[in-house]
Amino acid sequence: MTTAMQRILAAFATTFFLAVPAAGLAQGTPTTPPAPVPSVTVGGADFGLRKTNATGDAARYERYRDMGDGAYLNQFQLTRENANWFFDGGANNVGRQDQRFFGSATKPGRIRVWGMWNQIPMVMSVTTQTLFTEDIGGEPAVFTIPNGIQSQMQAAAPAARPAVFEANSLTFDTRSVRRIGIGGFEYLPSRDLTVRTTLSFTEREGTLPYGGSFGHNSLVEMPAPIRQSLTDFDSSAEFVRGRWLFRGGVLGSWFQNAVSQVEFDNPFQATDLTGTPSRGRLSVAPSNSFISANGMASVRLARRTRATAYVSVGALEDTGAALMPQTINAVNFPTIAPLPRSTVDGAARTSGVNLTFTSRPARQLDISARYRLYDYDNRTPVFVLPQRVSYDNTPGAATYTALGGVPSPAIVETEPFGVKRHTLDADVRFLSTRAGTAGVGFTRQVEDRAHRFFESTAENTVRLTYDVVGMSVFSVRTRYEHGGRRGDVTDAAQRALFNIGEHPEVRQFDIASRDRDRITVLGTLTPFGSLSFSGSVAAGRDDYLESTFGLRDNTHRVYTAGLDAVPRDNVNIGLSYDYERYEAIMRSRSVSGATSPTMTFEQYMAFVPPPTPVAGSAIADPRYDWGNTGAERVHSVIANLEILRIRERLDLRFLYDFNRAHSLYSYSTGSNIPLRTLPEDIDPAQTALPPPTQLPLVKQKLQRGTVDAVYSLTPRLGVGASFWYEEYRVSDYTLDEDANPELVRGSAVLLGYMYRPYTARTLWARIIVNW
Amino acid sequence: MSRRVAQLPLWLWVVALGCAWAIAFAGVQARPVAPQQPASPVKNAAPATKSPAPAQQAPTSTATYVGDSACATCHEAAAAGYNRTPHHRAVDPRTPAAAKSCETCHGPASEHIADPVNKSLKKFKTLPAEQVNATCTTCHNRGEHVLWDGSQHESRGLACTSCHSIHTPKLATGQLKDTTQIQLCATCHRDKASKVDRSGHMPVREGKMQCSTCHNVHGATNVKLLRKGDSIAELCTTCHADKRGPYLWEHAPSRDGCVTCHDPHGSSNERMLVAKQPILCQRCHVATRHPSTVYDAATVGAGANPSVRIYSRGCVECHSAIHGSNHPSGQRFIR
Repeated sequence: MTTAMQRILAAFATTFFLAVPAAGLAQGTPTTPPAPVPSVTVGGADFGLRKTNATGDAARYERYRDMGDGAYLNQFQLTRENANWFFDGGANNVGRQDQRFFGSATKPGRIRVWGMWNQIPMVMSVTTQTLFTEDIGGEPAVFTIPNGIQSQMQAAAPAARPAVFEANSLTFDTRSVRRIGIGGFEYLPSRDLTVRTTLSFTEREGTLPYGGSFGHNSLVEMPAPIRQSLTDFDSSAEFVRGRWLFRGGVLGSWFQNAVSQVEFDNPFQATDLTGTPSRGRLSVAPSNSFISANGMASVRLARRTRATAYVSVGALEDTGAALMPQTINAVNFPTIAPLPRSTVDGAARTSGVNLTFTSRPARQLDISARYRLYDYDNRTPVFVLPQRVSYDNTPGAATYTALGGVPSPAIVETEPFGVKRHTLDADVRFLSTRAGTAGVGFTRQVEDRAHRFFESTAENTVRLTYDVVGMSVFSVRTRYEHGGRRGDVTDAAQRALFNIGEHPEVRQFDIASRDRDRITVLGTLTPFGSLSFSGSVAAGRDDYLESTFGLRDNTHRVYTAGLDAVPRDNVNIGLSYDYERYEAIMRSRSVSGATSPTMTFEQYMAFVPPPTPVAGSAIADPRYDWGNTGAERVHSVIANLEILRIRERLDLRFLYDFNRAHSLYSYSTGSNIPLRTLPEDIDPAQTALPPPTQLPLVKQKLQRGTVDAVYSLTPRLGVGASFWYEEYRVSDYTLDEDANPELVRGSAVLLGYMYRPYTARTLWARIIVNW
Repeated sequence: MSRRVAQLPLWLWVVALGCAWAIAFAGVQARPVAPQQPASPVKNAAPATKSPAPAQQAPTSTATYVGDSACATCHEAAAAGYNRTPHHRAVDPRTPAAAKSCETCHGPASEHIADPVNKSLKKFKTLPAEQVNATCTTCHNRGEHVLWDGSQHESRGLACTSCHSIHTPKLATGQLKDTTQIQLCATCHRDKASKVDRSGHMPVREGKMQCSTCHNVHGATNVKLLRKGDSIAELCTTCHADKRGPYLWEHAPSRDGCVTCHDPHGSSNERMLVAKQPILCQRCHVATRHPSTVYDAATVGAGANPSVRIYSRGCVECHSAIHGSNHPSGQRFIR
């Protein structure tokens, strides 16, 4: 189906629904004049003093909040209502990094104006260290190390570099904050018409760990600056008349990044050399804009029928900034080739169509159908790289080396990814007052892609549901779905992978052929009105059956159980437990040296392993295969208890939250069957790889407990105390302190952002006022 | 690679819609749905009244309206709860209070007043979900709720009262039956809710976001009930606009869907990744040398042969522009 036909079809569908005459229905129920409303002002506030004691990683305890000591003002709310207007305002965490203010004025049935100011901090670490100092405010951001320190680091033996670092580094906070100002209105010129408009402005500033490199084993981590702003505008009008609803809207989003390039010194090189620069320059997020318009028409018909048509179009563009130069290494300037163009010219057009139809044509029959189209048409022109400058070092030819070590015909050029996705859903449900509701559904999704291995995939999914929800004592909801996604593997596609240095038999799991099975069962049991139990079982498996390499298998099991009880009017009890089990199996092939003799694609596909493994032909020898099984087990418990109005004055609340996650990534080696799928069938004697040393278990545990007590001195005044306890324990071979004993190792310099345990206690002395 | 156009038969969905229209307009007669046995609430709340449940009977045409003061005589707790909610705001002509108050939703009560045991009104705790929803959507059929019919929750038999309480809400915003949104959603989506306790999480448990920040549970045009955009990436980039691009060099999973690499509900891994690096990256990149090397315990930071490709933040320490790069030589996202 061509693009033009798609759009004509969408227009036809929209016009069709608009053109069908609709009979108006009577609007609402007869009204009586409202009684006069006296002015009423109510409100409340929770304020007092707070003290936090945190040992360990206090930054992680805070993360997205401000738990500092001192006075606090929280849950402030003021509401005033009179005959014509309703005013509402409030604030949380006043004066803190996570403060929030909001207010609204409403003339019911006519207009509502509202606004909010919200701050969201993100504290990553207060112990990070760096040799860099930043020239604040410029573009690009420039991170420099004094020449003397650079020379010291360059001259020092690797074992001596940590001492140089410790003597000269600066400790700083790695944190950022979003400040969001948002406001809008909802105006009803008439009962039928509603106009909504929202304008928001977000400013985000701070730092984030960001890596740079000067070579294969070089790593320089720096506190990349964040100086971003985002302006969003959203306006829509909705008209309802009788059975019909029409809505149209426009959205605009403008993202500005004041720092789109970062220059940074090389800690280990003070002067530029052809092959080793003293500085690097990299790109970060570009400024962009996204503007879209949408329209929707919906009609209600007899037999609980509703038909809805939605269309949207959008345009995404960069702001036309110039392409940055290939290198900052001045020694290499004379040998830099000109670029084919001077700007990115990034652009894309999006379009979406959503047609839905739901109906209950008979008492026991429920049908629905939906067609969804999404098109991301990437219009960024292809950029052919004339010359590659990888690390601001020696410019080289922009070529690929094929997997077999032979010259590759592939051109190094950009790949402006695009996707067009058609999805058709259809569901039929059969309702029975006694036997529950059985449903069957079907989904077909066809995706058409640009520049991906699978240019086209199709997925068919069948689902069965069975729900019993009309009983007083119990309810059960079950769902099973089976789907299969397939793509056409072409010889040309596999050859293209080989030519860019990738194994032809790898399949990217987001588009790979896959069989999917999922089942969920969710039940509740309510033997009494004051007691209910709930439980669920969910299981699923994704079988990437054609993926020799890559993600091969992905399974999950989730078991939950819960209890809610209200033994008395003033007592609430809740308890829930869930166990989650995830497992993902992948497969790869380890090749550490050059292919010798070189191997063409045809030779690779026809390769027969010799009796004894030869490292030079490892790319084609399954004895160099390895697998990894990532297994995660999670236990989670939440318990809460409320005892209210003890002696009519005292409220007590208790909460306990426990979450423990263990992850293990287990390696396995050896295979003598090229299409072996699960590594556990391997024969270790056939492997050419040394036995791997298994990775340690990754453990994370979070425990939280809160106790709140509020005593009402009068109906309007209460005093209270709260105690929060939070404990975080972690063992992570990538980011805990054991994994990073030093911040400078060889040619790597880190900031020191890590996972550290903490234990924190916060005590609140509270005054609660209501008026 | 050249782009081929996928074929989706036009006739298929035209026929499907045509059949649907035919059914709708063919005048298939539907008998009124008889009241079912009482439905069990998803979330148990304190009962509004301890009066015994009367037998269900549809109100007859002879019933007349009596006014809410009569209702409050017996249903004092329910009336008190209702009085504290926006439904009671009589100055708003759209509310029940501006119409027939309690009787707007429950029906005219004159016969119920005369015979409370045998002549009951609409009792939403016991009505079938479709009848509950039909009552609520008489008014709540615009804005956030316009796509409720046929939405994921509606099609599974959830009623408005599965999540909302008119008389005894525990959360004023939205009149929810639980004290926070996430506790309510966790009733069915427990695994998603528990993920916010992981080290990599959105600021949900800190109170800065909630489930409805990303999802419109009443229905949406986007997938997964996402409230904005027409794709997952469009929703995510409404806040994370720095990942929107468009880039000169793009990373395919970043363009096609953020959830390929990230778990938006929470993860034990840095930056909410679904798996640790380098293993996550090695699920797609199988080549020679370091992309396919086994990074075992010997290569971790505390190991005998530590490699920067596994400790700290792994691959993205060097391939830092992983969402895309505008550097002329940014093909491998290292600049």
